[in-house]
Amino acid sequence: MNMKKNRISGVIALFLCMALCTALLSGCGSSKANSEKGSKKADSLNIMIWEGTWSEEMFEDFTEETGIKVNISYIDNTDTLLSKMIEGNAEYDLIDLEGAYVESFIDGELLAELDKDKITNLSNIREDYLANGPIGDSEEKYTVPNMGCSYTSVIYNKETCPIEIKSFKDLAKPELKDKIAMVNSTISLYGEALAACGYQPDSTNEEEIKEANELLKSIKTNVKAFVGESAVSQLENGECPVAFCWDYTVLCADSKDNWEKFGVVPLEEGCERFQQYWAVPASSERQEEAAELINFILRPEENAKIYKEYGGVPNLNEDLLKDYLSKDFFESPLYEKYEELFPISWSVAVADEQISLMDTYYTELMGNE
Amino acid sequence: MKNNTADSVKKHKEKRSAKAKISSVVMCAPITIWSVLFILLPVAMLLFMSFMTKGPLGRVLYQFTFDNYAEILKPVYLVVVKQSFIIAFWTTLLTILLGYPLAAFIARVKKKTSGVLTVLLMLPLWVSGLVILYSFVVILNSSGTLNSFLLALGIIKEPLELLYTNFAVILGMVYMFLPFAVLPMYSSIEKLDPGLMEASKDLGAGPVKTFFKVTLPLTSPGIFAAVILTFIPCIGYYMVTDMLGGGTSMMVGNLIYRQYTIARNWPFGAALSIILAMIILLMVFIYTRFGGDLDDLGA
Repeated sequence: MNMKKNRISGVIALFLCMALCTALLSGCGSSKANSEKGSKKADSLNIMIWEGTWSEEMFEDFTEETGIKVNISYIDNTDTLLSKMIEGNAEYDLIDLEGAYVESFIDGELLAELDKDKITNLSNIREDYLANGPIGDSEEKYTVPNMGCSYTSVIYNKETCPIEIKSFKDLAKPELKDKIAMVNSTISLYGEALAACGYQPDSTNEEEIKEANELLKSIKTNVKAFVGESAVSQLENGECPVAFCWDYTVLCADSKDNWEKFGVVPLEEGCERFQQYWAVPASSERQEEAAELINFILRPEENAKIYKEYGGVPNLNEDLLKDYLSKDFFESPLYEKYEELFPISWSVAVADEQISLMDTYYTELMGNE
Repeated sequence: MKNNTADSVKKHKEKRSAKAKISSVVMCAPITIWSVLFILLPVAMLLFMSFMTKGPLGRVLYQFTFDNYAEILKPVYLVVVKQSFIIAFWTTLLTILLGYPLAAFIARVKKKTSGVLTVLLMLPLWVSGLVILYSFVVILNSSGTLNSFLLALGIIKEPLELLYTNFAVILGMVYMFLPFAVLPMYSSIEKLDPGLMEASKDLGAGPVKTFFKVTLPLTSPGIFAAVILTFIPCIGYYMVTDMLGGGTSMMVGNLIYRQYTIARNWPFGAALSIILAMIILLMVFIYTRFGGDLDDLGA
C-alpha cells in the first residue's frame, strides 16, 4: 500500500518537475520569433500607454481599418519603463512618454527617429506645441505631442481657501496649517521651490537646492497629505481647500460644479508645464506601422473620442475638433486658464545628477517629522 | 545456500535503497528547483547588486564597492529607519494588547463558534490591502460615512478630523495586522492545559496572579510569534502611512521603492533590502534561541 502511495507521489513529483521545466523553458525562446520581418506588414502593434487617458474605441477603429491589432500595456512608472528598456526587457512599438523623460530615453539610445513623412496629419497639431519640443528633442525628431499641456500649480477652493495665494512661498503661511494636499513628485516640488527662491527650476547647485529644501520644510508643516498621483479626492471631499498638483484638467472634466468651485493660481514664479509624447522605441521592428497609428490618432474624428471620454485640452487645433465635440466642452474654464499659464510655464527634464541630489534632500524632508 | 540467500537479501536491500534515493531526489526536485530559482537566486542577485555601483540612467555598473552600505549609515537614512521602527513598535504593541484577549476568547468558546470567529478574523486577508485602505478613506474623510453618521445624529456639529492623522494610521495598521497576531496566540492559548489554571486556583492564586504566573509564561511563544509576524511586515509596510497618514513621513519601504524607481539607484536599493532582510533574520534567530517554534511562524 505504502509502496503504491510512494510510486504515485513519485509520478506526481516527476510531473511537477517536468511542468516546471517546461514553463521555464517556454520563456527562454527568442522574443523576436513572433515579430514580422522584411517588407511584410505587421499584423499587431504592442503599445505602452497610461491607463485612463486613451479611448480604446479609437484603437479598435484602427484595427478595423488597417487589420493591425493593437495590444495595449499600461505604464506603471516611467522610471521602471526606462530600466526595463535599458535592460532590453521591454519590446514595444509605441510608447506614451512623459516629456520630462524624453532626454533620458534619447541619451539611452532607446528611441527611433520618426519618419515624419508618414505622419501627414502632423499639421493638425497646434503650432505652439510643435514649436516647443521637449528637452532633448526641441525639433521633435523623436516625438509627437499626443495631448494638450498640463500644469503643476496651486489649485484652491474659492469658498474655503482662507488666504489669497500668489506665490508658492504663500503655502508656508500659518493660515494654511493642515489645509494643503501636495504631489510627492520630487522634480515638481523642488522645481517649483527653486523657482520661488529665484533659481532655475532644474538647478543642480547644491546650495540652491538646500535653500529650496528649507522652503519645502516650512511648507510641509502645513501639508495635510502628500499624494502620489492625484489630489482630486482631497479637493472634492473638502479634506484640503488647497492643493499643489496637476489636477485642474481632471477637476474640470469631473463636474461642471467644479468650474465655479475651484481656481488655479498663475504663480508669480511660473509653474511646471508637462506634456505627453508619442515615441517609437529603437528596438521596434514595426516602426512604419507605429507611425501609421500615430497618424490615425491625429485625425480629428478619432482624436475627439479621447476628449469625449476623459476631457482635457486637445493637442489638435480647436477648429478641427469643433464638429466632433459639444459646445459645452469648449466652454470649460480650462482653456482660458491654460492659455494664461502657458507663457509663464517651464519644463524640466528628469536628469541623473539632479535626481541624485534632490532625492537625498527629499528623503531628509520626509524623514523630518 | 545460506550465502546465496544473504546475497540476494543484500542485493534486494541495495536495490530498494537506490530506489528510495531516486524517489526522494525526484520528490524533492520540484521544491528544490522552485526554491533555487525563485528564492536563492534572486537573493544572491540582490546581494551581488548591493556591492555594485550606480551607473547613468539607472544602469548598474559592475564595479565592486562598499559605498552603498556606508551610505545607509548617513543620518538622513537612519532617521527613516528609526521612523519605521517606531511605527512598527506601536502597531505591534497595540495589536498584541488587543489581539491577546480576542485570541483567548476564541480559544475558550465552543469549537463551532471558534471556527466561525477564526474565519471572520481571516476575512480581511482575502481582500486586497489597497481595497481595505480605500474603504477606510471613504469612512474617515471629512464628508465620509462616519462623519455623516455622527452629524446626522447630532453628536457633532463640525466634521471630525480623522483622516491623515496618527489615529488613522494606527487604526489602519492594527486592522491590517490583527489577524497575523491573533492566530499564533490563539494556537498557543488553545494548547494550554485548563488543569494548570485549576491547580493554580487550588493553591490559592487569584485570577490576576494565575494569569501572570501561569497563563502568560506558557503562552509567551505564541506572543513572541505574534510579535515577529506583526513587527517584521510593519517595518516595510508603507501603504497605510501613505494613504491614511497623508504620506508626510517616509518608511523604509518607501525608501527602497524610490531607489528602484525615481532615484534610479538599484545598488543602494539592494543594499537597503539586504539590511532589512538581515534585521528580520536576526529577529527570527533571537526567537528560535528563546525556544520559539518556526512552525508558529508558518515556516
